Amino acid sequence: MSKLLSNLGYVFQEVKTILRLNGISSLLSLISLTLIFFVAILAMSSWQISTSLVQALENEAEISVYYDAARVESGDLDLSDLISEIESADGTLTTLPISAEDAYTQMSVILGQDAAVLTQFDENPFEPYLEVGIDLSKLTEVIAEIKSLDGVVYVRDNQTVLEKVASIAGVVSGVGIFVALAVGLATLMVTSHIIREGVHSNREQIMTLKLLGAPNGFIYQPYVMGGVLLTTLAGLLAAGLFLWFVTVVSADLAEVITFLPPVNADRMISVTLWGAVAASFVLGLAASLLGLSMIRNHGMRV
Amino acid sequence: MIHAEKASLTYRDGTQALKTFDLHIPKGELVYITGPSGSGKTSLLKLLMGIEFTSSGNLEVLGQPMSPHHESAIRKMRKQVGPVFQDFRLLEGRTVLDNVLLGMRFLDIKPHDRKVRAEESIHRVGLDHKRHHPISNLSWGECQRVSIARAVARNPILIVADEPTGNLDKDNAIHILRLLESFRSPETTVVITTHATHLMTTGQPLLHLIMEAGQMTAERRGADV
Ligand SMILES: Nc1ncnc2c1ncn2[C@@H]1O[C@H](COP(=O)(O)OP(=O)(O)OP(=O)(O)O)[C@@H](O)[C@H]1O
Ligand SMILES: [Mg+2]
Repeated sequence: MSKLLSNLGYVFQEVKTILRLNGISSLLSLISLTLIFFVAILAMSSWQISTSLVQALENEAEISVYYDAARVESGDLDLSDLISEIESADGTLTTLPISAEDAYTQMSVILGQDAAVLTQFDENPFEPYLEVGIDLSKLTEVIAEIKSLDGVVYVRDNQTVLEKVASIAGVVSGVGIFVALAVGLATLMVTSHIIREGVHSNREQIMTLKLLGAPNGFIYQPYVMGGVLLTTLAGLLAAGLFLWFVTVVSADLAEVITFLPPVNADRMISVTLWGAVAASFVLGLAASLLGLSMIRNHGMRV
Repeated sequence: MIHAEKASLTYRDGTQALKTFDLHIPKGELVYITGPSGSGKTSLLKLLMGIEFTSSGNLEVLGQPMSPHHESAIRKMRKQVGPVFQDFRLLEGRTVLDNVLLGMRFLDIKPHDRKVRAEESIHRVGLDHKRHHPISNLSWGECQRVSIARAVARNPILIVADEPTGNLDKDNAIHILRLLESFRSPETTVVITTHATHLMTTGQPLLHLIMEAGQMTAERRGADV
């Protein structure tokens, strides 16, 4: 254990020396990695925001199912049977019966000042219906199934609107995956390049250590550690930059976002930050090892 | 200690640096390799260190067959060697003490003992007053002494020095050679290459390998020769 600790001390000392001896390029690498991560965090958090928005919209996806009210009144059709049939359809989330009176009230609310128009009718012009919440991803199947049920006269759906929402969700997560891939690749390339450069500019030293009989693990440890340190530091800096950015723009953002379902900002921020730091650590490690695998012998076979 | 049979070295570009030779160096020997520039002195040391491998024949160093298939065993073998290079090969940006310590980091030595050995060998080469100085502030002769300190602190059973006096004036060169010779012991073999035949010791028995265009002749000298 004490051997491990004393070695860790040595490794950190070496990392410091390596970074110091390659000062400018280390600094530039740190800055570029920080900016890459910052862009990534921005992309990820907008992905998160839009995903949760889409989810909120998906949860509100509703269709109106009109049934033969006359048959219900005559006792020929049992409304509660119909409801349970609808509920047993795969993709149905909720079913709420709306009476003709409820429909009237809803419409007067929607019309507001213009509700006076409704008083022109002698009778309530609205029919009772069932408000059915559905799973957006099963939209077409559910509608088809419900339409085929006995007693269902007509299904009103905002299919086009709902389909648009679904395709937006697809695009947004597609973009998110693309950005994640691009950032992962960029980090891998930048970091592995830094490691290679570091090893290359220290090849004389590395050869000397080899000639002194140092094992590869000992020789390359500081470079791996340096790479991991650099990316993790960049991850932290980017996270800090993002926090600052959020506090500056969140006021403006709040104004824009009021009409949309609320997003849990604190949770989002902490998820993003921890995610960024963890991802930068893992990427740094992977990139360092990748960088090392690309070099090796410096013209010396052993 | 070192055994070569019908060994030779031809570089990849076709240069034949070492013609077929046999060589047997017992433990505790002082060996001087001399010869004009380009005669193959460094090439021979490269074979001993496993930087190059024989193109034909066999070579064993400290009981280790030197072939590229034995990578990790050769690395281990090198731990028992103390190399001294003409261009020092010290590690930049570090102090004298750090350089000497670094040569021992991966050997199985307790941290405290490493420190003691480093101090001792720095004292032995006469650089106590410079031990916390960065390498970049030292003169050529001082750098060569640091590299000797690094080599001997490892308690090597084979010390290999390639042209250790190359860039030094005569007084310094003599000083360095005598210093290196002083590490020869019944357990420790010392191999030195040099142009400067006239600076070789006359005080102790040695094995003199004379190189001429890749051809090696061995000549034993007693203390009284
Ligand atoms: N890596 C190499 N590839 C091809 N030829 C080489 C290589 N290294 C050395 N040589 C050639 O091998 C021959 C012996 O070189 P070597 O370096 O062993 O000589 P040396 O005796 O050490 O000379 P010097 O006293 O100048 O150091 C020379 O002709 C040299 O040009
Ligand atoms: Mg030479």
